[in-house]
Amino acid sequence: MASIDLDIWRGEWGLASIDLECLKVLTYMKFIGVPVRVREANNPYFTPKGRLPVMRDGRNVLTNFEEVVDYLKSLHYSTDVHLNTMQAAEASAFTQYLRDKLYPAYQYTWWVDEKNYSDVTRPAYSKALRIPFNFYYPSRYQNAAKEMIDALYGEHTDLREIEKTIYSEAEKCLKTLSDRLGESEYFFGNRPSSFDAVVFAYLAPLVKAPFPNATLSNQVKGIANLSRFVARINQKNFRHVTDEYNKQNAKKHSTGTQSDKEAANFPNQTRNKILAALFAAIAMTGYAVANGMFQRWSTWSWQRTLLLNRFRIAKKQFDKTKKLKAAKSSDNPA
Amino acid sequence: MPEFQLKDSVITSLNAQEPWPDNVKLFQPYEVEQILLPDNASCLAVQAFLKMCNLPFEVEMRWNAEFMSPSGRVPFIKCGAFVVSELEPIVQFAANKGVSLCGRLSTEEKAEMRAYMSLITNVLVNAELYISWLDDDTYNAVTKVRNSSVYPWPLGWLQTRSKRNAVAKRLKALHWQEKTLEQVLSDVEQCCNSLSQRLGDRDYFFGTPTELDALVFGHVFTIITTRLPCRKLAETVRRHETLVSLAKRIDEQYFKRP
Repeated sequence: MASIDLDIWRGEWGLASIDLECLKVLTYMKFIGVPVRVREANNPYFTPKGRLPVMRDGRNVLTNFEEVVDYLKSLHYSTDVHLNTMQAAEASAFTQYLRDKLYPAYQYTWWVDEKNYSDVTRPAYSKALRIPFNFYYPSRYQNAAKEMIDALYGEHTDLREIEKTIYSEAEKCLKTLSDRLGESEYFFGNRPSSFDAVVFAYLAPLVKAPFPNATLSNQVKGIANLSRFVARINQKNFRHVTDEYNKQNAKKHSTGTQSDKEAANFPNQTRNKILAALFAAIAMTGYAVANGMFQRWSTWSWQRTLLLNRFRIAKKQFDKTKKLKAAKSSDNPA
Repeated sequence: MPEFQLKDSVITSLNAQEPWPDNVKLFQPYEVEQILLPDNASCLAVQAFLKMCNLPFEVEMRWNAEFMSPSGRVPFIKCGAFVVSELEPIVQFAANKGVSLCGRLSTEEKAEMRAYMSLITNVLVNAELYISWLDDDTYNAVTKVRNSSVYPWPLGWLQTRSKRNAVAKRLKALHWQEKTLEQVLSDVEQCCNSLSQRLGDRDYFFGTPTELDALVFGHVFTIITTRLPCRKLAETVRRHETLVSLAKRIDEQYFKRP
């Protein structure tokens, strides 16, 4: 148990991570207080399943929340020891309930809703990724989410109809959750359990991310005890992240000049210029090749060049002699 | 616009006053030669729920029940001008008529009940789908034969194929396709554990019958009484005696055959 490594998606908007699964694992580890080295990965290409988070401890490589919980339990790290069997059963039932009702809505808000995707989700993930990967992974995750929605709600149904169903189910689910929480500090007793980590991971990104279509976020924010729950856990476990974010934000606001704001509005300006130039050059060359402008190059060979040269030399000689002859003949009569 | 697109609120205002009519029909596929494990479980759950509510209905078997259903899934009931499919909407529909089994439960208990119902639809239903469609033995010996039995020759083959693809896509979206049979069974085991721990030694989950009992009955009873080449699922469920005895109790009480 020297040290556990954890690779996650980087955070944003005062969150420790933008990703649901990463946030679950991270929150759970914070609850336990297990020593962990967190690294913000910039590409998930070399992970076992093409996804983050990845937890490494020696030879053990784990990629999802349930495995991590089980593994830490085998090392006698667990937050769920104070639950009796009935509460444990209830926790697992509620976990499935969230997965059944809230997860589709979560995925819909993050990936399927076009405006949210292009304004918030894709920029956030592109920022976390390195250059060739940022063109690939966001759209891959989007396709996966779209496929899930298709498979669950039928392919030929109108998307707006699906949206309405999903959000109304999620609203019911949030209401149920709020009823279950009541005014207590955590869901089971006064100590955090793995279920609290799961709920926090679902709700915190919805509260913090600035979505343009914020139906689900507004539902969460509208329920007082759930938003208090999120704020409480955030305050206790991720205070440094939020503080840093607020500090940065304050700095930006106070010293933000015109050029800074422009840079913030259009990040990676130089890179984009270079890419545009490169693209234009490639397009033009392609056009030229397609139209056969370099055909002489393709038929060029040494022998031909030598032959042509010989002809040229011969012709020069010929011209010279002709000129000389002409000069002689013009001289003679004179 | 077909009537099923009416939303909850509209249905509530439209039919709140009308009592439950006598000529309600429950449509489902043929029980003997056609129906598959997951469909049978959900049909049985709905039947149990209606019987628990003392609501009269007739079962009508149609080979194309699946295509008649507004949501594409069986069973569905036809009640006056309304067609409602699957357990949850039917429960909602009955509640709008003033018939409800969970009226005296507190809000926390209702929340708990919904959570357990999700647990079943998420774990047991997916496990049934997995066994029926992705387990090769069961698929070849049972599912393929039964599903194509009602269609003429090339259609049966095509329809079975397309349905298998649809199920595979659904399970893939839920990350169930990549699981092995052992992982599926361990999930089922865990689900049954949770359920039997919640049930304890009571007769019903919340003292009196609720839709959760109906749902548990539908799935547990179907799983333990259906003969499949893959016995492991039934064995896993049968190990939980409290659940089995709950299913038997409900069967005796509500489905006593004359």
